[in-house]
Amino acid sequence: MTAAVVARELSVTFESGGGQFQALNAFNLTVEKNEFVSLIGPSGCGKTTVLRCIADLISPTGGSVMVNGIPPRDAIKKRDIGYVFQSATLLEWRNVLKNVMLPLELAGVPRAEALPRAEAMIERVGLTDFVKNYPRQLSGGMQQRVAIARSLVMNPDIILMDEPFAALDEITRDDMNRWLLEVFAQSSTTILFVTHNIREAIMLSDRVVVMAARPGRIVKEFKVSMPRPRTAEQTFTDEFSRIRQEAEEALYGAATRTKVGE
Amino acid sequence: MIMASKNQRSKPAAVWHGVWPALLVAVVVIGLWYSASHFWGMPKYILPAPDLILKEAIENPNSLLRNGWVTLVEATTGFAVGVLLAVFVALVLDSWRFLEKGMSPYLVVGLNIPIVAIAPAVIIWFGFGMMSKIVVAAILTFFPVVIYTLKGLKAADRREVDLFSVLSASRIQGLLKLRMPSSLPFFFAALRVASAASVLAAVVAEFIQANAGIGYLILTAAYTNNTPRIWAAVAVSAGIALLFYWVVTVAERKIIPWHASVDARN
Ligand SMILES: Nc1ncnc2c1ncn2[C@@H]1O[C@H](COP(=O)(O)OP(=O)(O)OP(=O)(O)O)[C@@H](O)[C@H]1O
Ligand SMILES: [Mg+2]
Repeated sequence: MTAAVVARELSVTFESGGGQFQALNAFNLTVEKNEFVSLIGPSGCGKTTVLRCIADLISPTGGSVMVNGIPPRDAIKKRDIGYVFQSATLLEWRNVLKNVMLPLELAGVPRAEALPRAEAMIERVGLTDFVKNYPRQLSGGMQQRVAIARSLVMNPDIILMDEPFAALDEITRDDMNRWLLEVFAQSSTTILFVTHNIREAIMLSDRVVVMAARPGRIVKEFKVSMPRPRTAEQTFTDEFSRIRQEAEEALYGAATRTKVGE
Repeated sequence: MIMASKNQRSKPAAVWHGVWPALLVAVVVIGLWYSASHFWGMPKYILPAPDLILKEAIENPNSLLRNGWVTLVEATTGFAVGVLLAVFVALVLDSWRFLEKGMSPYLVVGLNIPIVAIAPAVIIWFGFGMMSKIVVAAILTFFPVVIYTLKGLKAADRREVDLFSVLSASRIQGLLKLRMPSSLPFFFAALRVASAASVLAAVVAEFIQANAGIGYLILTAAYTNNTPRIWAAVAVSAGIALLFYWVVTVAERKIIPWHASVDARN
């Protein structure tokens, strides 16, 4: 079986202000089908850049990415990839329903089929009472939920999520985490999830990948073998605290190394 | 609009609440004006009393209506032609970068053509009937609408462009579902400018040479020193421009109720 995502020796160099900036260097990552992998790392370490390479928004300067065994561009064409951006990015002239309908519309799904699918998805993110609202009439958390509904409505094989819950308060974030775990359990999707929150990363993932900056690279990986379905009690297990501590060390080590390198 | 408004007034009460400050200003100004003319001895040739202007309008409504109608038709036709042409040209230039680069300096020149300078030439080309006024109004509408619409078509947020790319949208889908909607606020801003400009264009062109229209009426009234008639005509032309502006505003509210500018103005 081919892996969902394979990145080999990925490197990305940006031209910036006359100089060159190496955002990623020799980045290697394999995400298996139906695996939940989190990327954590200090700001600017290239997490978004990794996702953008996988979604064919930028072409790597070196190395390669394969998605389901095919190049990202083809995977995008086949609508195998869903992407939740760091900001909700809703179209302000479309209400909630129409925003969630957008991917179906662009894929040419007939309205009679698209409408119930979009409505079901909106119900799953708990926004049924707000279908007619425009984005400016929603809170930040609600907007992000609409963006998630939009990325799920096509049932993509792989979902890339870039700090989807960063703007939410702790309680809502826990809610959304539980909800995402359910969605993940009920479907055969693969999720690559970017976050700054170690607790969130461990609770959700099969694997936590810690990155460091300048150049962006992987410094450590943790396998999380806590059984699913995951529950809040698991945050009190030894495995959770061990991974949390080691990940924190890797992360802060990465952060200080970044500073020293400057 | 869609949101629950802060203070829930009944509709007529809300309208009254929005309108009464403007009415008060009108009453005060007209009162001062009336006093200046009748009690403080302001001569009639400077500014005739408001009641004299009203009297002129009531006694001779035909020429006001007939000439006002001519100007209205010229301005609306010119506006419509100018807008249609502008949207077409904007879409063509937008899909053809080379042509856009070549044309854009001249569009800026076009935007800055003084109407008084261009009108005589247009009258020579199209005669002194309505046609030449329509053309002048169309020219003055065309340039702002092309320039703003082109700008609007590029105004889509970088992240929204990424979204469409990730959703594998075709070029035409990107135009119809992203770039055109993002350009609408720009388009309406241009319409607002153009609506006033097209009335101005028609009236100024009538000044230069015409046999009908508000500009023509003002000119003939000036020859006979009929100041009440001049001011009645001025009022009619202002009314036409306001009507235009109002139509654009209503259309904007209906078509882009989601936009911040519409929300803020409510
Ligand atoms: N288009 C670009 N041009 C130049 N530099 C860029 C560009 N995009 C990203 N970078 C740089 O690449 C580095 C990695 O950016 P990236 O957005 O991937 O970081 P990140 O890990 O997602 O950070 P954050 O957690 O703050 O979102 C940053 O230092 C950024 O300045
Ligand atoms: Mg980022």
